[in-house]
Amino acid sequence: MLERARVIAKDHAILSTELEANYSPKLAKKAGELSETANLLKAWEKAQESITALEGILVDKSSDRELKDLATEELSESKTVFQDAAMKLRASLLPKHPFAGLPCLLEVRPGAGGDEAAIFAGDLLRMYQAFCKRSGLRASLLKLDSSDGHGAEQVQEAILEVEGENAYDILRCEAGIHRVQRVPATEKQGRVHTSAVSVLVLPSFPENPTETLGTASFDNPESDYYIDPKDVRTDVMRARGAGGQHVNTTDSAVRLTHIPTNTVVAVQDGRSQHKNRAKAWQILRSRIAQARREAREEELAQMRLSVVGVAKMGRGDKIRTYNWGQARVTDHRSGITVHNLDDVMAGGENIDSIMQSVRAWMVERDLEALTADEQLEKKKSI
Amino acid sequence: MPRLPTSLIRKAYSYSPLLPLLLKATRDLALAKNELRWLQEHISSIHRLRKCTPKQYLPKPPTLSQLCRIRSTGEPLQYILGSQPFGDLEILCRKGILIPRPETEVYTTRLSNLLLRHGSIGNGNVESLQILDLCAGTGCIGLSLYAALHRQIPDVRVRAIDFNPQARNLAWKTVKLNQHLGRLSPSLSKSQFDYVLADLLNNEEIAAVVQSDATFNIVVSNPPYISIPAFSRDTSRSARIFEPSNALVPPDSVGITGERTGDLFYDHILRLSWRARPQIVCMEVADLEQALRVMRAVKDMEAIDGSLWEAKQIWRDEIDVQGNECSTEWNADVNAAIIGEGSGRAVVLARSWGVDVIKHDTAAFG
Ligand SMILES: C[S@@+](CC[C@H](N)C(=O)[O-])C[C@H]1O[C@@H](n2cnc3c(N)ncnc32)[C@H](O)[C@@H]1O
Repeated sequence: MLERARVIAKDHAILSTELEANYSPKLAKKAGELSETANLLKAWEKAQESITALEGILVDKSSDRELKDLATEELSESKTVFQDAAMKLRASLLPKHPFAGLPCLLEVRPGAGGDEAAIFAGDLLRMYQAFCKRSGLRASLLKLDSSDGHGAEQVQEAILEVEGENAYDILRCEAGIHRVQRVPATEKQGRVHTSAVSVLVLPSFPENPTETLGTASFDNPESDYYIDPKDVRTDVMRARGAGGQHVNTTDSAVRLTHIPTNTVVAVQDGRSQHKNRAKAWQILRSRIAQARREAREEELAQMRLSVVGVAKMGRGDKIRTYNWGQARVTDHRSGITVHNLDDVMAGGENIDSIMQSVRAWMVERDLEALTADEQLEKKKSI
Repeated sequence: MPRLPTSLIRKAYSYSPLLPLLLKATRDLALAKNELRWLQEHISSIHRLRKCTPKQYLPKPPTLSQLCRIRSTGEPLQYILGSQPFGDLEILCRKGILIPRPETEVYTTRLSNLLLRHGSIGNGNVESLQILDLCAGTGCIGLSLYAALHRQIPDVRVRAIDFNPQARNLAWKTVKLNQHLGRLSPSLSKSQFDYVLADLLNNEEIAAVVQSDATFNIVVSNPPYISIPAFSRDTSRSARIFEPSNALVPPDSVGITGERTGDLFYDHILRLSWRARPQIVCMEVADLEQALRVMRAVKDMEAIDGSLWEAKQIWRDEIDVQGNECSTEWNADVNAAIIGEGSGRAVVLARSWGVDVIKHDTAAFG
C-alpha cells in the first residue's frame, strides 16, 4: 500500500511543478485527484514520525518522569491519528465507487420465517428511517406493501428512497441478509425463532444523469443505466373487461417488464398513473444497473480467487444478527458486536459504529482485491 | 357478477374490518388496500385544513367508516375524493360529469410526447398550436395537452366544446386549482382555454362556435361511444348507476340499432375535421371493431370528398407512452397501422406534418 501511495505522491509533486511552469486545466484536474492521496500520505508520515519520536523519549533513560508521562499521553493520541490517517489513506487509494455520490434505493423484504420475518422487516424499515432522519438524509417511501392494516407492522416489501450527500456510499454496507433471533410476539410457547430479512441497496439515478454521471447517461448504450425502450413492455392496467368509458376504475397500476432479463417492476401505490410510471422506471433502472455491475464483479471475483483467494461477500450471505435474548447485534463481516440493541433499532449512534466498522472492512477487502488485480495484470503481462 | 370468494373477504377483514366494504366496490384486494389508504389520507388532509380555518365555517369531517360505507354502494372513489390525477394535472370530479379514464390518459400522454419529439415542436420552432377538444367534459384531454405543450410552444390555444354547463364550470375550477398547485401557467386565461357550450349534434350550434374559416392543428375527442347493447352488457355497475349516461351513450337515432348505436358522434367529428383541416385527429373508441367501423367511414368520406389523410393508425390500450415503436400490424382493408396490444382505443388520422409526428420512430430522435 505504501509503495502505491508514494508513487502517487511523487506523481503529484511532478505534476505540481509542471503546473507552475505552464498551467492546463487538464493537468490541474489530475493533480487535484492525486493531491488527496499525497496530503493523506503526508499526514500519515507525520503521525508515524511523532510516534517514533515519542517512543524514543520513553525508552531514553535520561528523560525525567514528567516528560515520560506527557509522552505516554501524547503517544496514545498520535496512535489514533495514525490509525485514522492510515484508514483514510487506504480508502483514497481505491478507485472511487462510481455510484458513491448517488442517492439510493433501500429495499427491505422478509425472507424465511413467515409473519415474524415480516414484522422484523417493519422493524428494520423504521430503524433505517430513524437513522436517515438523525443523519440528515432525506428518506421517502417509494413503495410499501404491508399485510396488516395497522400501519407498517408487517412489511412484505418496502422501498425507501434516500437522498443526501453520498447516500449510496453510506448505506451500501447494509445490503445482505439480516438475521433476527427472538421470541416472536406471535409465539405462545415462548420459543426463540430465527428469521431473516433481505436488504437490497441500489444506487438511484437522477432524472437527468448526464450531469452527475458524465458519459454514463441513460442514452448511452455503453452505460450500465442504458435500457433500450424497445426491451421494456409497459402494462398500464390489469385486464378488466372492456375498459375505457365502460369502467371507472381507480387502478393506476403500472408494470414494466424488462424482457431480456425478465425483470418486473410493478408500482400501484399512487393514484397518479404518471407518477407510478416514473417511479417504476426509476426502480427498473436501478435494478438493471446493479445487476450488470454485480455480474461484472462476480466475474472479477472468480479471477481473483484463482490468484490470492480473496472471497467476496455475496448477496446470499447473512451479514448481521440481531439477538434479542442477549440484547446484542453482531456484524459477521467486521466481527463487531454492540450491546445496545434498543439504540440500534432506534437508529441511534450504535448503528453508526456498526456501519463504520463494516465500511472499514469493505475498504480492506477492496484493497486486497486491488492488489490481486495488480498481480493478475503482472501475471498476464509476463 | 360472480360472488366474491369468502376466503378473500376473510383476508380483507383481517387486514382491516373496513376493507370488505371497499372490496365490494373494487373486487380486487390490492386495489381495495390502496383505496383505504387514499381515503385515510383524504381525511387527514381535511383535518389539516380544519386546523388553519375557524371551525364554525367547515362541516364536520366524515369518518373513515362513513366514507367506506358510501364507497361500498358503488359510488366512485373519484367523486368521494373530489379529483383524479391525469397526466401532470389534478382533475376535479363531481357527480354528473364523467370521470377521466386511465386509457384516455395513456393515449393523451403518447400524443403529447409524440408532438414534443417532433423536431420543430421540441426545438421550439413552432410558434402556435390550435387544439379543438370536442365533448371535453372535465377538460382533462385539452388541459393536459396544454400543460405538456405550453413549455415548448409559446402560443397554445385550446377550444373545448361540451353541452354540459356544469362541466364547463368544473373545468374552470380545475384550471384555478392547477394554477394554485403550480402545474398550469398563471397566465392561462379565456383566450388560451376557451370552453364553449354547444351541442355537437346540432349543426347550427356548432357553426356558431366553430366558424367556417376556423382552422385547428389538432382535433381530439372522447365522445359518448357505448352502444345500447353494450351499456347493459359491458359497463360496470358503478359507471352505469353513478355516472351520467349521456356522457356514455349517444342519443337514439332513427334507423340505427345494435352496436352501431355507439357510432353516432364520429360522423360529426369527421365532418367538422374536414372543415377545420387539422394535421392530427385523435378520437377515442370502445374497441377494435368500432375503430374499424370509424376507419371505413373515413374511407367512404374520402371516396366522395377526396382523400385528406396521409396516415391512419389505431392505437390499442397497451402502447408505449413515450412514443417508441411497439408491435404493429397492418390492416390493408382500411389502410391503417394497428399499434400496441390490448383493446383498440383510439383512431388517429394525420396529414402534412402530423404524419411525421405520429410516425416518428426512435431512430430519428435525439
Ligand atoms: C365520455 S365523456 C368525455 C369527457 C372528457 N373528454 C374525458 O375524456 O374524460 C363525453 C362528454 O361528451 C359530452 N356530450 C355528450 N353529448 C354531447 C353533445 N351532443 N354535444 C356536446 N357534448 C356532448 C358529455 O357532456 C360528456 O362530457
